[in-house]
Formats: sequence, C-alpha cells, structure tokens
Amino acid sequence: MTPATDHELSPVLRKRDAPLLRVENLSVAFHAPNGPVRAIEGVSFEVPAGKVLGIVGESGSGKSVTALSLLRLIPSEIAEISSGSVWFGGRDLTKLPERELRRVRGREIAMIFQEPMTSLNPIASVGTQLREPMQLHLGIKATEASRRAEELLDLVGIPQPRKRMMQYPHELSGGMRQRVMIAMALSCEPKLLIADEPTTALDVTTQAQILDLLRSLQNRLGLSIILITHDLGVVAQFADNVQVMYAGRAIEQAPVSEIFRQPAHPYTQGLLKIVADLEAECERLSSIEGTVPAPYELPPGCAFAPRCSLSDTACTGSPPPLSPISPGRRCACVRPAGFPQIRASA
Amino acid sequence: MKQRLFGKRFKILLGAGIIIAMCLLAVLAPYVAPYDPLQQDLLRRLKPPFFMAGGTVKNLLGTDNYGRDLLSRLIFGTQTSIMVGTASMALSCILGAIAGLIAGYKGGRIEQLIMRFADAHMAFPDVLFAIIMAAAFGGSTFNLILVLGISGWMIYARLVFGLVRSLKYRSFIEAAVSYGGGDRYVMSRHLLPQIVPILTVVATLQVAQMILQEAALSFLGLGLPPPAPTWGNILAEGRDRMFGAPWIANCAGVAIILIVFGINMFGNGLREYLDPQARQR
Repeated sequence: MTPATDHELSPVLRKRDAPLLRVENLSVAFHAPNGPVRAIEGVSFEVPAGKVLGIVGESGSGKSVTALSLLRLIPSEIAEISSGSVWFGGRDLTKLPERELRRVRGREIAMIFQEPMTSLNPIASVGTQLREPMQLHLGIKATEASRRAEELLDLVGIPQPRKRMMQYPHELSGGMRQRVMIAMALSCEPKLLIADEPTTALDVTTQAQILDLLRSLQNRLGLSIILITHDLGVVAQFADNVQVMYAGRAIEQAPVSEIFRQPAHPYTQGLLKIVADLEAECERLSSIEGTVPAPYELPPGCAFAPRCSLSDTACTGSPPPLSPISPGRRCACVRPAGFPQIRASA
Repeated sequence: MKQRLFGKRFKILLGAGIIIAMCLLAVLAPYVAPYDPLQQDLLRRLKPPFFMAGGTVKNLLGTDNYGRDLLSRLIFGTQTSIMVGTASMALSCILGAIAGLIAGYKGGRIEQLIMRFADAHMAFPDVLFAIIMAAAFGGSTFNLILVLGISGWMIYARLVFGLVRSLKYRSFIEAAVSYGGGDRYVMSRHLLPQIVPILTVVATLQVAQMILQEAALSFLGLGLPPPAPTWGNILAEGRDRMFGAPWIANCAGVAIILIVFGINMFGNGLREYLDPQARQR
C-alpha cells in the first residue's frame, strides 16, 4: 500500500473530471425542545458520473438523513440544513428555491425508499402512479405516458406490463412493488438515483434479484447511484466507493476493493470482523461493545472512542477530521490502521 | 334472501329510500302538492287532519291559522330544507377540507393560524352569528346557506387536519414529494383521495345537522321570512296553537324527524359499509 504522499492531487483530479454530485461539509440539525440536535455533521463526499457510492452505517448513523437532505426532503419544521452545500449540475441544491428544486426531484435525481409496501399510494393503480412523474416533469400526454410506463415495467422485469398497469399495489408482492418503484424512479431518466435501503424490507432471494436489476440498469443506463444500506455484503457486490458513517459523521471513505482488504478505521474493522466471523462459522460472534451514542450526548472527541479498544487521551479532545490517508482514501481516526498517523505532526 | 335484505345494507337502503322519497317530493312539489302553499282560505282555517274528528280528505293534514293546506306547505318545505341542507353542507365541507388540508400538510405557523381560528370559531355561538348575519343582510335562502355553511367548517377542518397529519409522513406521500410533486399536487392527488370516504360519511350526517339548524333558525325567525313554507316556520306558527291545533307543529316535527332519521340511517349505514373492519363481521 502506498502511503499518502500527494494530498494535493485530489483538487486537481476534481477539476479534471467534475463529479456529478459534490456534497461539501453538510450538517443537518433536528429541532428539539432543548435546542437543535445535530443529526449529521460536516459530511462531504462526491459521486462521479456512472459510479455507485455505498453509504453504510448502523441505525441512527445519519445515512438516511444524508440521503433525504440532498433533495431537502426533510420537512423544515422537523429539521434544517444548518451548513454546507450540495453541488449538482452547477447548482447548490441547498440554496435552490423550492420551485426549481421540484424540477430536480424525480427529473434529475430520483429516489427509491426502504418500504415498497407503503411507498405506493394504496388507492391508485400502478399505471396511474407510474405516469405521474412523467406527466409532472416531461409534460407528455397520458397515452404517451402509458406507453412509456409499459416499457418501463418491461425494463424492470415485470411480466405482462399491460395487465400490471391496471392492478393496485396490494395485488403485487414486495419485490414487484420495489420494481415498480424503480420503474417510477427511472421514468424521467434521472442522472442520479438515491436508493435508501432498497432491499432491507425484502426477503433474501428477492433482495438478490433487486440488486441484480439495479446493477444491470446502472450498467445499461450509465446511472450514478447512492446506495444507502447497513448491509456490507450489498456494498461489496454493488458499490464502487464506500462511505462509512458513524454518529452523524463520515468516518471513512475508500474504494470498495480497498476497504474490504484493509479497513483503516477501528469501527470499519469492527464491522468487517463481524462479517468475517459469520463466514468463518465461529462459536461466538464478535460484536462492537456498546451502542451508537445519541446525537444529543456525543462525547467531545471521537464519537467512537468510548467503544474503541484503541482509544486513549488523543481521542477525547476534539473529533478527528476526515483526512486523506492514501490516494482516494480518507479516514477520521487519529491512528488509522496500517497508515501513517495523521495527527503525529499536528 | 330475507336475511340479506335486513342485513348490513338495511340501513343504507332504508335511509336512501327516505332520502330519495323526500327529494322526489321536493323536486315534484308543484305537481304533487294539492294546493298552493301560500293560498289562504279563511273559511277553512284550523281544520284538523283527516284522521282526527272533524277532519276531511280535502285537507289530508288539515289547515293552519290562515286556512293554508298543511300538506302542501310541508311538501314545499322539503325544497328549502333539502336545498339549504345540502348546499350549506357542501360549502362548509369545501371550506373545511381546504383549511384542514393546508393546515395539516403545511404545519407550522399556517397550521397554528388556521386551527386556532377554528378553535375560536368553535367557541362562538352559531345562533349569535346567524342573528348578526340575518340582521345585517336580511333573511334569504342564499344568506341562510352562507350562515350555515360558514358556521360548520370547523368540523371538517378538524377532521381533515387530523387525517392529513397521520397520512403526511406515510411513505407514499414522501415518495410523491421525492419525485417532484408540489404542495397542491400532493394535496389534491394523494391526500384528498385518501380522506374522501371518511369525508363522505361525515358530510352525509352533517346534512341532517344542517336541516335541523335551518329549522331552528327559521323557528327563531332568522331564516326565510314568514309566509315562506319552511318546516321551521310551520313549527313556529304551530307553537302558538300547540293545544288548539296540535297537528300543525306535530306534522312539521314529524317531517323533520323523518328526514333526519333517514339521513342518519344512510350515513351510519355508509360508515359501517365503508369501514373495512366492520365489513368483515
């Protein structure tokens, strides 16, 4: 592994092939009776065109909040973006007026959600719902939208599209519904698809089918995808780059091949060790002691320090920044495993 | 077969039957009514109905103080009652549903504004409001509809507000926003269709309330001015002769009871029919 020598390389690279989406220093705070509670803090990442970014983390790590706030989908009475910017197509989505943002939602950035059971309107037919984004964004007639809807259903592998169009969500299985959701998301040919735990609510065989479908669509349409999941196996199969989140911060970013070979952050190591134990069929599964701290009781230093076996006084001062440790890799730890210590000189 | 007739749809059928009969009477009033409701005949005043001693078939339900045929007046009274009842229901339903949708979906300051206004309006007596309106604009069918319509919106606003609040965070609403749906789109295409069944039941029952209120306002002299044949007016005229000519007030009372009963039957039957849990039983 080459040590991090050229930290200056990344801005140059950035200019040469501008990423499709660039998130800079994004913080989101929830309104609470005792003042704002930080749900995510200082999250920065990029999604290059045609690539898949996997965001992994436990429940409450802020991965869904990250996804939702990209399109400002969290109602303002619940939470607000307190700082940062989301650059997409030369515009900062955090500052775009609501009216213009609506033209980005579904048209340029589409989302699919965790619960296919409830993400479809129970009292509207599949066809009606499939046509809606197209009619909203593309201004095409109902007949033309119907024709395209049929094509889309065919694209996502639903047999007898014409018959399915007239059915209601309760007549479809979970996997079918998720396929319909994917068809809806792709209907306006977005450049970026945000998939928020798309397979969590499905059974294992259906999960694999949906992932295969997403994978092949991604290849065929040159789509960029942000895949949010807590399943490292899904990430390993599917993503090009990985961002690991913990307690509202990004703690490690790396290409998928490298992170599984050599995880740098103790938390990532812990996660991978659990998976390794599962594969090795050992007697007792290892776990990371403790739970994710709640956003309102974060320790002053590294949020993982109380659960980390390597923590010492260096970890308790202030949260370590997400710093480059080698080309294309960043880690927020005082002593990333196998890499030179970043705070040594500071 | 018999069991099915008296089964779960019995209430709907009975209620619908009464409502349809009443509506037919209202529409066909000029052809059905034996006399002009305003025609006085002082020689034949205060005749009892045919089933009482001294009554004749000429005036089936007798005559009032001015010799006007009571049956004809009641038949024409259905017109006012049904029209005012449904129109004011529609007005308050539309006002209340829009207010509730906006308050529930938008939340925040708009919600506070609308719902606190609804609370304040709840505390304000309807009759007082009606007196003010009647005093300011005089009694007419249009004003009556306006007064009743405006005084009933809070019920719908609160109902719709509660429903929208519970629907707002459902995934399909979030999904609709995520594919670019604006406020008006989400409210009209996704929220409204969800609440229409419940709204229908409440609106149906509300027609009965409105008819009662209309009768009450007419009784108090705040509805249509006296010669007009409304059930409330007939009731008020009958009150003076409660003992001498009890049929006047009683017949008007029975007419009101009948239509309110029919609408309530229909509304409750509809609620049971539309409620999936009750339907399985």
